[in-house]
Amino acid sequence: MSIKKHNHVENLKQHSAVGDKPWQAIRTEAVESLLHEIGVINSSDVDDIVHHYEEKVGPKTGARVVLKAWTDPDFKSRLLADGLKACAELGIGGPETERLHVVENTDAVHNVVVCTLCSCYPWPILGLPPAWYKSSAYRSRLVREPRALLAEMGLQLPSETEVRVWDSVSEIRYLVLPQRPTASEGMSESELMGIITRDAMIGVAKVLA
Amino acid sequence: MNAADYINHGYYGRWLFAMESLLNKKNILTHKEVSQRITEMMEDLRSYTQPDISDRDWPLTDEQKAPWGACRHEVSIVPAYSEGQSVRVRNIHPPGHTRVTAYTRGKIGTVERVNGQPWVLPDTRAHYKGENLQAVYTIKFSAQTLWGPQAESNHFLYIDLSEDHIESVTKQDCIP
Repeated sequence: MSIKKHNHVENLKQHSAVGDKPWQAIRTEAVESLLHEIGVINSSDVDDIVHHYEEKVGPKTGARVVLKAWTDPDFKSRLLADGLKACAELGIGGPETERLHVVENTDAVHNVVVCTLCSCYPWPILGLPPAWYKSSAYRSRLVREPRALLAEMGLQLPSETEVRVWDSVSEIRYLVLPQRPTASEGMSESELMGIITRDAMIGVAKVLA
Repeated sequence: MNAADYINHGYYGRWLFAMESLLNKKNILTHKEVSQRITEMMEDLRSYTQPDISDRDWPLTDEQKAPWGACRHEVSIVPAYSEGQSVRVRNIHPPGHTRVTAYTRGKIGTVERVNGQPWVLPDTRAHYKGENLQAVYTIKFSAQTLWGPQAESNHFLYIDLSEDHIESVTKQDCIP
């Protein structure tokens, strides 16, 4: 397609009243309203989906999985064997994850997840991916120089730690099982839930007590 | 998509471009209608021009419908490769959609895990060229294999690839 025939940005530059909205948001609004009128989608269903992922599913779901794995060794074995099946025991599952591999961080191994092709991510367990996960910088640099990138993101890994980068595609999604910090031994379950972060479950951070 | 736009339009800009192009190509919603609606939104009109719903290819026929995202069928397949086997990523550059991870092309790795479910191959499904049910493999590469002497130390990559993306390594191809 020729760029002159269909240039997103030019189309909006002709208008002054764009305000603070990015052009992508304005185009999306136009497309959504037209598709609703044609009957392809229903705008209230779209709102429900947005609400579901903004309010109901998020990293707290993943934190429940990690907490259970930290406190129940049998569950942890089942989780490492078949992630999705174990999550189903906790009532967790949904679209955009057909198969889940859980990879465990140890003293010797640090795991971190990326999708260089697009942004594959375990939606039902962690919610929607953060903006940086979808950035070209994260996707291109994590596979090429993970130690340097993770250090910039605040995680210094000792040279003796093996770094495993998981570059996922649509079929298999990954969740990092972070190490439980020794200092968390006396913590209650709700305190533990408070320290398990999304970033630790992607593998760009450690859980700190 | 124009290369400069690909970078400048951002993640959701690219999704939007792809969606609008498909809708236009399939005669469900045209570029002209979207442009007109944006103009009307900008001019803050009280009512917008309504699309004529009779003149478009909607609803879809059953043959035109495809499930969203990764999918598989409940049939059994026999994966061609097994865990621990050395494989090479095929050096292929098919036109259109492919999920061959570019930086692995021609590289040799080891099968770490066989996801032996009958997965639909996105490369052919995207072009209506069949489902090509096949296994997806997690292949382990050392960073040195992919990045050479400038690789970071003690770094391994585990990359998911479909069966059609890889080939077996024969004796003549032994890693030098």
